[in-house]
Amino acid sequence: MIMAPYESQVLTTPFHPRTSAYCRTNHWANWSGYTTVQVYTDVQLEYFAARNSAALFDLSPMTKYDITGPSAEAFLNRLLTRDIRRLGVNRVAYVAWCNDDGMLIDDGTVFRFANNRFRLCCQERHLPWLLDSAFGFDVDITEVTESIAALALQGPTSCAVLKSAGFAGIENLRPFDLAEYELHGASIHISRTGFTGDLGYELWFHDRHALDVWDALMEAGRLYGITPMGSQALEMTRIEAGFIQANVDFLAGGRATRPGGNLRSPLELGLDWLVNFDKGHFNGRRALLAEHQNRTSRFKLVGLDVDGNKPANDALLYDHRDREIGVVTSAMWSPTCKKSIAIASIKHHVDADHAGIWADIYVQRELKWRRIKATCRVVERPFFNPPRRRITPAGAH
Amino acid sequence: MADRFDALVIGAGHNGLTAAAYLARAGVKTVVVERNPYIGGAAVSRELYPGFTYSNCSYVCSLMRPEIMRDLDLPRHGLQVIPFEGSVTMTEDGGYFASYLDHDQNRREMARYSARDAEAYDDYSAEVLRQCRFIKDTLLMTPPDPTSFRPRDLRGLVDLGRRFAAQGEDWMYDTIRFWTMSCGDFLDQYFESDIIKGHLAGSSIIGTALGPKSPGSAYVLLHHYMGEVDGNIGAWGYARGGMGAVSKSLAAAFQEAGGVIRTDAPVAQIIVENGKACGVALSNGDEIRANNVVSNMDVKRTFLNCMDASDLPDDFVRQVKNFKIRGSSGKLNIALDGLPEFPSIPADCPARYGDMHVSDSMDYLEIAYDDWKSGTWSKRPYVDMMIPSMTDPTMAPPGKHFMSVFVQYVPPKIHGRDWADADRDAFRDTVINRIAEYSPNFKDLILDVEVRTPRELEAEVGLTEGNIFQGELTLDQLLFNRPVPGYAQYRSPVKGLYMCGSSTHPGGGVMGAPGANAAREILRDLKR
Amino acid sequence: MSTRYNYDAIVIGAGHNGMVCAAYLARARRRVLVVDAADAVGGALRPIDFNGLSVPFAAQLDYGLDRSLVDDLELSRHGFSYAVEDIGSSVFNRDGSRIDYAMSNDDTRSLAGVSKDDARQWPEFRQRLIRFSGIISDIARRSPPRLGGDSANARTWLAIALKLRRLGRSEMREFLRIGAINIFDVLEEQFENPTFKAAIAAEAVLGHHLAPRSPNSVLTLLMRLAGSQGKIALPRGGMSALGAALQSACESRGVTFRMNALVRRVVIDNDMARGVELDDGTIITAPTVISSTDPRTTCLNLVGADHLDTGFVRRVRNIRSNGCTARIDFLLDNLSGFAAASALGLKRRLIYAPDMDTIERAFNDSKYGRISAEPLVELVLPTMLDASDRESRQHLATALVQYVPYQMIGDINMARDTLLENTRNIAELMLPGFKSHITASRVLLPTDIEHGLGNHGGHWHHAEIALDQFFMLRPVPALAQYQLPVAGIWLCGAGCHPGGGISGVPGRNAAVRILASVSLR
Repeated sequence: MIMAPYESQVLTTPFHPRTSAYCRTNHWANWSGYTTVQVYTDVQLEYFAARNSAALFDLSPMTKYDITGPSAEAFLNRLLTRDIRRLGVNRVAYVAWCNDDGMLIDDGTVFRFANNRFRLCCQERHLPWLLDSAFGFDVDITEVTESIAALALQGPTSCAVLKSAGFAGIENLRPFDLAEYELHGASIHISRTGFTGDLGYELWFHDRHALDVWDALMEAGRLYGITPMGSQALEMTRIEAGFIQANVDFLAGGRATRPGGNLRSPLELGLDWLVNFDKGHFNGRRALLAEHQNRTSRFKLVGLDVDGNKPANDALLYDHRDREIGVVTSAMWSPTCKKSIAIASIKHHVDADHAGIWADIYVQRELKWRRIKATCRVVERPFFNPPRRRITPAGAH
Repeated sequence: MADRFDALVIGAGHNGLTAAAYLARAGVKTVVVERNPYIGGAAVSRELYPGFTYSNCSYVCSLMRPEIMRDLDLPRHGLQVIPFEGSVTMTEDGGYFASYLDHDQNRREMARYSARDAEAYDDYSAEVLRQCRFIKDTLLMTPPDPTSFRPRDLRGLVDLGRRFAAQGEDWMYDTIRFWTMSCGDFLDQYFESDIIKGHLAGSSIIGTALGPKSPGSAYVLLHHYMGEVDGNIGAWGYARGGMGAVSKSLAAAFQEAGGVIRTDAPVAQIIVENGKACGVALSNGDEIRANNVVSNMDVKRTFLNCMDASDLPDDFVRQVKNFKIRGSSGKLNIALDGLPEFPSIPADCPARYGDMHVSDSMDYLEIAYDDWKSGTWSKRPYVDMMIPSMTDPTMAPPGKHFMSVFVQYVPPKIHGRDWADADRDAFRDTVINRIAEYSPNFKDLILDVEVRTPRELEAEVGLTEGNIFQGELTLDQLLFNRPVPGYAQYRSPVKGLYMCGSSTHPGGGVMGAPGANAAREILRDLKR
Repeated sequence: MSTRYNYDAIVIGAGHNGMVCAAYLARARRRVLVVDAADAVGGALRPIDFNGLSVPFAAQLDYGLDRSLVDDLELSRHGFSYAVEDIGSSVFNRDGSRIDYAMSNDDTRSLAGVSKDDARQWPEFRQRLIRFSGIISDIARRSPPRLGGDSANARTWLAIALKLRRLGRSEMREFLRIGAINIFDVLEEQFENPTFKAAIAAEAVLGHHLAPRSPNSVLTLLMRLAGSQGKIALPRGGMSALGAALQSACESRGVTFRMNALVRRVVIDNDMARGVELDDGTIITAPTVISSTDPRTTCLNLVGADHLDTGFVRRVRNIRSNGCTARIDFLLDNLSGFAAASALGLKRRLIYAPDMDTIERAFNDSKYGRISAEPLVELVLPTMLDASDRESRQHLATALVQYVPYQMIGDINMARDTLLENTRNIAELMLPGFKSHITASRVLLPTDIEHGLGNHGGHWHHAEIALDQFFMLRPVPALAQYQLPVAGIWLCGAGCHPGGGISGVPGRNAAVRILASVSLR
């Protein structure tokens, strides 16, 4: 059923009949024009399901582009900073792409279904950029956001749930592997990927199968503690996993409307490992190479362990001489690490280990405001990194 | 007349009243003289048909600078703006294209015509927003003179240059291109769909004697977007009670500060003695004396009609003569016996509360411009229709409606001769027939039509050639070139005579900035 | 890398700009190869056979060949001279009446037919234009600076600003005002005679997709005057002779020419130019590759989008490069009887432009993909102008006709016929009896020019000249310094600053840039 835009300001996802039934808080959010759940029942409950049993997340509003044709690989190689020639069939890669100035436009994942058949999933919409990048390449680009439904099943029992739902051999899927399954006549692509930094899978299928798949998973997961998870709990797992988020940790789209250098290059976001200078030309290569060779990065991304238990959201960061050196872009109290953690962008020249970084945090208790100077230590990301995330065959807990 | 004023403002238009209010609030004894029996100039509400309020010139409120609303406390003086959501363009084949405030809803609407355009709109908006941000800062600024070596001008230039450079080198190029390119070329960079381009290009031609394919027309787009940049909710809206409410609130602010308004007082001549302006002579022979005279009239009217050329430098007179002030717009104000049906637009579509257009491609607009160039009104004109009475019951009796129809292009002369009544009627029929093509019951509902061609706009409002911006907004007439190079700082060549109308920077639209800027310069000279 | 290169530089395209660039490089002792797909040099100047008569492929007249370049390259030693250095012009009204004028001098006696007021205004108006064109001429000779960057850029901007200031305050203001304005308004302010106004307007819009009322049309007039202060010339032996002289100048300095060689692509390795690959697969190596074809073709076809960034490609694709001017050649038989009757007219440049509105209407047609019903025409008889051709019994008449849209609606052959018929009639009106002497004709639409020269859109100037494609914005800001983002690839054609019109300046400016940044190996 296609609704004229004037009839509905916000669309619903193919899972809406189920998500709306489970959503007891009425805590909704508008995600790229779709009605999505922020919290179903309780954010802690959902978070701990993702960490200790299994959580089911509706990620249908994720933007998806199918990229096919004889030059699909060459096109993606010119678009993305990674060497896509090295991505095998039935594999998935975390990728990033830049504008001419080498500033990050967005990050996402590329799925390789076949030699000439890819799918790019990302947060924002980029059709004009993709189409313009396709000039001179024999490639077709189709947006499939509306027709492809997607679920993320994340957590230590996620593999067991899938097995029990009938996806035989799912435990043999390695991280970033992709496989096609059939369930009740529906073709389902399952990738061992996710945004939680834990054992987990993402399922992709035509939207007409949405309710069947949801029901099958919920049924299969009953004994494994499966719980629908809203975007708030996902955000917590995302930060613990140390992933950056478009329009939170960096300005997406590659465009800024104000002066002041508000865009970030991948080198400034700790994504150096995604940039391959040896693969030939790609968008932004010249600018990134110059940045790399001339050491002109302005910022660097760091993980912080913040003293105390107060989340350092939006806090400005200072050094021991009280000079402003950066800002926290994502922060939370980690219920698993039992620490206050943060992702921050700081000036590139700062010697993070010896600068004496502190965060300027404002907290309110019973309507009384207090300012906390919380000492921060730079730590490795991910903040939480369990071995089960990588082990294959995956544990069937 | 015994009264002697510190300042006399000619014309109670919104800029005149704004300037006057700022002066009065600074303690300057100010009088505003207005030739009509009512105030407002082009921002008026008039009952021209029993029970109906006509916003018979300007018709929407969006551009009024927030700084001025705050300084003059306009909401307290009664200004209420009723926001509306968007606009809609009807297509030849019975379809429609609407715009919405919600980003994704708007995207989905565009995607009905082009998936690419739907997303390219983000790039387009970002660029336009960026341009608006840059321009916005110059609105309430006195343009520095690039030929002057005075510290103030040099500082102004350096400041402008610095702000320009702060955006980065690539953007500087883009900006120079944006200021010089055509709206058509600008839109072609982003969009492929004819109707989306036609819909957006409307903003680039309003009040302008340029087609969307004429170089320089891209800049005019900004004039339309400027209102949205401040992020005000419902940046576009109807002034409750019609556009006269804007003038009324300005007058109230002025009068509260002790200002005096004299209506029915047409100025025949600006009196210059010993090279200094010292008052005006009214057409009935009365003289009103003032130490400073501020003209809200356009520059041609001010300097060519109301002054002796001998009091002005020859070069200046020549430049004023060369100032481009061609009329290009007309208006129909219509009293309706009920709500007209527009079958193309779904009944629940909120966009029907905003502007409605019939120009569904850029070529449509360009062809309309070709008619203007050849000396006649557009046979298939751009019309901007609004029915404010749908949300404002003060505009029409219950069940009845007031419709404002802005029409582009309408030439100041027909094939070089003056407008005749027969032309006016033929023009009216062109517009009404065009609307009736989209609204089957429209003609039957018409109770009264007020037709305003450039002739009427000039005769009643005093806008030379009926130009609604008191001078075209082209690159050669902007910033330090507006109205003429060397006199862009609100001062005229005659001591004590100032300009505060839309002929001055930053130009037309009901934004009040020229008035506020002029007042600031006058107060500077008065050392207040 | 120890690669031995075949040449120091390869120039793609043996048009006048390509050859000028090659000659300057060779003068600085570079080993240069010029490759061209055609069998003869010249590009737009290239001689082609037209029923036994040699005619230039597309070039009409010399609207402003840079005279310093003629000296630098010692072209006169290579056989270059002018047959006529300052061709007089006549503009025709619909009734066949005409006004003689020249943009190059103030002689008002020739302005027969205009009012006393117009005649009185003319010298002052013309001199002001020439003064203003001096600014443009100064800008035209410079290689465009960047807005950001180093002190050299700042110095250039300062020099331009000072030049502007030297006009004096009131003239500077006037310059800033009319720089962006349209020629229609300027002429309306000055003159009364509609046909005379149309003549000046025609000078402004010839070769451009602009009409008198289009903003920017003063700029294009100033551009035209900037080259040679309004003089329009014809080389001895016709326009092709300039090509031959340039070739000789090149060869005398050791430039190699390789004709009948279509370049398929620029060879790029590790983000650096290594040479070119010809259509037959031959690879010729050089560390510097210079393209005289249009920027779009260079970037998107010869280099390829895969070596460039998306934003850059976007901008290049948005370059406005659609031509709007057609050329028509007429072969005329023995003109002896006819010549006597209109002796003067045969040695002038004949413009058909009854009034500015007619030009405007002609332009209107082209906006919607139609050829102009009543076009603007510039007609010359080169073989009459050039005494050296007197022996020939046959004569050539060439017409520039606009507006002829690049993207045309309807049948192109019908358009071709209509265009020919319209032009013939207009020529007949200007030179009664003309039609009866025609023995053959040739129509060159913008698409034919594109096909013959390989420049996308078939535009005279490779890219429209307008404020948004001028100086540091030409053809796009990232290419304004004649250099591509891929190291070692350069542009030297009319698509670069300052544009076309057979000035040779883009070729020279590019060579100067190249020599400054590439050291001799």
